[in-house]
Amino acid sequence: MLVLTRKINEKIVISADIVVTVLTVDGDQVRLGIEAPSDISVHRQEVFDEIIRSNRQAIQKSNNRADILQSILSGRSKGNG
Amino acid sequence: MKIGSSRFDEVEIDDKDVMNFERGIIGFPSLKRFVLMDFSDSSPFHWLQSIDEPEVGFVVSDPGVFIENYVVNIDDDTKQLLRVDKDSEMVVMIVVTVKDGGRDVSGNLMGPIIVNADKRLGCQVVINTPDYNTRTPMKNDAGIGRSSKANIGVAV
Repeated sequence: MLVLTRKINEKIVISADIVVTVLTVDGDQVRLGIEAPSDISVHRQEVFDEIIRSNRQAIQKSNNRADILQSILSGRSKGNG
Repeated sequence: MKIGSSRFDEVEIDDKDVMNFERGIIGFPSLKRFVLMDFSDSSPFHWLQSIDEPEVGFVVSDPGVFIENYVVNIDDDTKQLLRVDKDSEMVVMIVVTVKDGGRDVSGNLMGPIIVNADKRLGCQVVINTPDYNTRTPMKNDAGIGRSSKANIGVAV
């Protein structure tokens, strides 16, 4: 990992068109400004972790396919009743 | 090609129905090829069958099962990946988690699946908004009638 030390309002340039600016530092919180082209997606790591966790719970065995749908429909009708 | 995805027999998959997810599913980068199967004509739920690992798949649904007016901004990166010329080419689907024997059904509105059906391309995207989470329960009026057992037939 490349480690750089920056002061407030100093910037890091990545690949010429992505600019990261240190905006404020308050205790253990750092606010960063990120300027990037619209085809670059920028996300918090936690968002990815949450989606990975959700996908792991959503994955199903193919041979249960028909039962799974039936369970959705029957679980639903119980909920409505 | 044939894959053994049904409980009773193998399912014949036509190569032209295979959708390529170049980046895989988030957290499952090796799942790159899928076939979208309908449970029935009228069901808002579909089955996203993995080709790379035939023993697994995901339940996906129309967003309307979980929320009205689901609005997502698709970035240029995704549109390029899916070779989208017009926004109308994109179809948005929600990954569904089914737990507790069907009594706990939730949708991941933070990580929808976007497909370009004509070009057979798909990907899972990250939606950056506090409005959506990964555990949204089904709507009460999700349009899945109580007596919909007649619709359960698995159409492949």
